[in-house]
Amino acid sequence: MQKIKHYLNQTVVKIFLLLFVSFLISWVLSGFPFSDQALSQILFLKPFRTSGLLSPYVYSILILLGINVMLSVSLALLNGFCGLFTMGHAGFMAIGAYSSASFIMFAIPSSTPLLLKLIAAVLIGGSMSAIVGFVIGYSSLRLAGDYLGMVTLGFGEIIRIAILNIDAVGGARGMIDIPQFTNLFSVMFVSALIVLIVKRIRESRFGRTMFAIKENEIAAQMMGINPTKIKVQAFVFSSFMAGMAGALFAHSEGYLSTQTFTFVKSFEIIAMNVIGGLGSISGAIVGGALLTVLPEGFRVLQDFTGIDLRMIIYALTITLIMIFLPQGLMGSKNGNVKEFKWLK
Amino acid sequence: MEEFIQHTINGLSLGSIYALVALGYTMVFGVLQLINFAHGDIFMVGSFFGLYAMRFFAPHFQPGPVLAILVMGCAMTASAVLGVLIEHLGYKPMRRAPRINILITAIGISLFLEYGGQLVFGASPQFFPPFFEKTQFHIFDSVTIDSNQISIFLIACLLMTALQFLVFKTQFGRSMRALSHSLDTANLIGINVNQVIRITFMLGSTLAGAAGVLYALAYPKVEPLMGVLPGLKAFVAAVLGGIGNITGAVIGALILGLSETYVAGYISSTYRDALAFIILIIVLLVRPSGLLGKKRIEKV
Repeated sequence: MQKIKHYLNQTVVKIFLLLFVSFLISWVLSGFPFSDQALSQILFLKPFRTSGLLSPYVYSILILLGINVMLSVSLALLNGFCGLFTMGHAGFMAIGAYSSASFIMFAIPSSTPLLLKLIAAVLIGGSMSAIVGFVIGYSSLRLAGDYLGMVTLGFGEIIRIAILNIDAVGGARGMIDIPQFTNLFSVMFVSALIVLIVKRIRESRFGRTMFAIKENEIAAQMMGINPTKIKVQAFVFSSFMAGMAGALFAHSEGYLSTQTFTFVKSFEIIAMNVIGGLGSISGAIVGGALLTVLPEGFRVLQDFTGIDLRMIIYALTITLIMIFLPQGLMGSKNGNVKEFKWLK
Repeated sequence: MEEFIQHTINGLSLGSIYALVALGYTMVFGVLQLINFAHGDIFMVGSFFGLYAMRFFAPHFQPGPVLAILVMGCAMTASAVLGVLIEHLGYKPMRRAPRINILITAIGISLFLEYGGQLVFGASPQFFPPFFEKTQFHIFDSVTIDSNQISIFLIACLLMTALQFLVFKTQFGRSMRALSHSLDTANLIGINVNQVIRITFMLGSTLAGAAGVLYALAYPKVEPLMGVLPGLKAFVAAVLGGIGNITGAVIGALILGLSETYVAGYISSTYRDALAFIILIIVLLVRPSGLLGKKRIEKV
């Protein structure tokens, strides 16, 4: 059984890598194209899409899945590794989404090559969000536990209400006509990158310091760790990644509304972490994937019953998992977390 | 000046509703150190039960005090039962779990009530008929106070006095206060901890149910998501006053209600909802123990 699991994990990674490499090779072979047309020609999923294996519906769900995995893993850094319980992650996502969308729409000419646009969007979204993350992290350092959660929830809501009052980005009407250039490849690439970075962070000195702070802050301080610095760094890293996810989200939907970024979204990201198991990267991935796919599965159920049961089942799942399986899907009874082999 | 008095009257009436909800937060936090996120939704369920009681009793009674007592009684009983159920099914199995887990359970229960409410009560807003004939009194030339505001204020004061008596003058109140010092010690000296917690939840939910009906009286639109914002604001009020402190919760709620109406009246009503969060952040950053709360020193 163990062997099969291991083999399966290995295969998944291999497929993942193969797709990635094949895209790179085809990109190089076609002479480093930057134009939109050429890029869309070699998009490695083109054969799948044209052959009907990948319907537009499945394609959009896969994109959403990637974005949710990014959000979930970025929260795992803050919540699972460092023990900083935050409830305002949707705020970081909103900053990333709105800043990158307005940068692309207002600051650069629309004739800019697609690839450059994509890179700029992700970086701008991430850095704006990281700046806000720095401010929030620095100002709420004195707090821990529930209080930190409440303050970050407050910050998240304030960000949302502030955006709601900026007329240039559409205000309550929402932001429309955002260039849509997020494709499955970019989402997969960025999410794989985030998983890789978070994994490397955890194995590094920085990561172990975060775990020390989570276990016992005072003891960590006695060991010569500066909790203030580490916590602010964790906030900046995490918000940067959430901002990148937000930027990709903005350019995949083409439409932004502040209603997307309420605290319900933050709770959803927390739920992804919790269902997978706090402190586990593979848990965050599994949780993010589950909470994207499950509601879509319930859509079928909704056609059947005629009522929207999705949110109820979703709420019940969170509650029941907390009561009966507090360590989450990827955690074990004695408090250790099980990981995919390749994440170790 | 007259405008200011008018805002003050409106603010006090809003603040006393917040106070009733905030008391529930503060009592539960005092006993269990738990932020009961589902509290705002108990408030919502309370106003829905008030609505149904209203529809049931309205053909048989004239609008007046009898009808008011019947409607309030039904709403308060129903929310008390709901509160005890939530405690028993959701929080009791998790007494020894880490605090983050309990918090997430609370969020789960809250979402469950909101969307379950949409299923049971329907998602569209419903009109809540008043149980008094609304009469307006003119104090000065342009300052008005209506009978709803007066009854909200009076009922809230009555309930808060009753709670104050219960907590500070009775045997039960003493055991509740003992629990807020230390759950384990209270258990050791022979207090039935589970029962005290259950009754605390019952009391808090009763007040939330009453607040739900009063809120519906002031803003006669009842819908399943109506509890979210008042719930969060009442929580802010509890934190502002010093969470775990009963007098503090009332003072915090009145301050919040007043400042909210001033902001809506003088600046802009779009910033009204942000104000509560700004207050929360300032309080937690400047004085995390709140106005009346005691500072807890972390021991190693």
